[in-house]
Amino acid sequence: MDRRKLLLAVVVALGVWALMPGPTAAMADPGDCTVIQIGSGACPNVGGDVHDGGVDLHGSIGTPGTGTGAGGGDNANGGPVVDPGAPPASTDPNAPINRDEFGASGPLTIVDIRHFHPQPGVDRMEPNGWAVIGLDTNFYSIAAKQIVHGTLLGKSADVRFTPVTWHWTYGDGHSATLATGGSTWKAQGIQEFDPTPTSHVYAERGTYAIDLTIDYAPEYRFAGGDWVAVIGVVSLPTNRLTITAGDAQTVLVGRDCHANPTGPGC
Amino acid sequence: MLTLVLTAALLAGCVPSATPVIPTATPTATPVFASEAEALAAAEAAYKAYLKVSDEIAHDGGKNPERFSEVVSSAWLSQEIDSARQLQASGRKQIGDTSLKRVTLESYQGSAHPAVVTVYGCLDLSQIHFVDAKNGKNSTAPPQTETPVEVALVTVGDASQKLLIERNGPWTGANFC
Repeated sequence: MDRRKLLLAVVVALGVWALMPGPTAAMADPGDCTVIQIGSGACPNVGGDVHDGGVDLHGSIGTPGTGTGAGGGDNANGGPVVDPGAPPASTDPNAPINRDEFGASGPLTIVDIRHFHPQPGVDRMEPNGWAVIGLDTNFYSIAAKQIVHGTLLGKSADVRFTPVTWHWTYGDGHSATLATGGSTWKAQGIQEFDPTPTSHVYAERGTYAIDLTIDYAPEYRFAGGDWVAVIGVVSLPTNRLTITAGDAQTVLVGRDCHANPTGPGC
Repeated sequence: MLTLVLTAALLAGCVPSATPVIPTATPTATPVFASEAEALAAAEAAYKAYLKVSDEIAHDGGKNPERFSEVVSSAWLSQEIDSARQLQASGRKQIGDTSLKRVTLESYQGSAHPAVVTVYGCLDLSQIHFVDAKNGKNSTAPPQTETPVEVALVTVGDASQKLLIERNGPWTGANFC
């Protein structure tokens, strides 16, 4: 289907959606469907896929299609689309003319797709912006489990993103894939420049760019049901850190060199 | 040292013993079903009875949904009645019968009434389709061949082993059918 046809189909579908009864009146909660609803396609079918830095939730539901209801569709955020999944128009010459191919009295399938994406994490380091050659530089991330709320088929739909893997590239040819995002030296109760699970030691002077990508394990919950895992992970890059690595010497100074730059040892 | 120990032991023997524990008959709850296998068999039979009633009502286009009261709990009955009324409003009826395959036990809590049995099963919908109740023309294509379902059943009363459908729905995890 070319782009114009697709757009036309969506526009027409949205028009039909606006004429249909609100989906909440005809739908059951997930896990609460009768056999008649399952067999007749009136039970919501919801699934999720990792796509484009987030998760696409897609749902479909059949409707009786009596055509007697009025309005009620929520078209916000590219709302539900009606898929004319019903059989094609009858070939019976005596059948009523169906000019738009969307039978007002036939069953229809409502299809809805929504995209959910997590907020990216933040990469941090200490010392901030510099590293001492031969000593540990501590990298850590600010990335927490997050729940993104939305709607699908007119019902509540949530996607939960849990950070599970951290990929660091340190700019010096080394990289690490870790199961922790790390934390500050203080939070770990250790001294500055102590090694941590996420620290890295630079061997040479230079300026380095550090990149961090965090993998999130996604799950979704539809209409207040149980959390269901989505296959795959969402990989999201964080901010880039640019640092300078250099030597350090220990010297005795008279006072704070910032306050008294000409003081002894400064 | 040995003397001290023996003395302590002898003194201990002189101390009046604590109030003797008299064994009493503790009430033992009789399980509703003697085994998990028995609970599973009862659940499968109950679900098949439910499918039979569901098929009958769907064949009739959703008419007289109160027939469900024989096979579902009072808590689930309204769901069935709403579902049947939706079907009736759509002017469609079901052709063919559903069937159940590969029923397995998820859990069984039956130390006392009401017992709760939860099972997994594969709902075979390949033999059904829906038609316009008036002209008999096909309304929907046959649905997915087998749908995984999770079903909860409960006993009624204080002594019955009869199970009723308490909750039914498609399994949203990995498809085991």
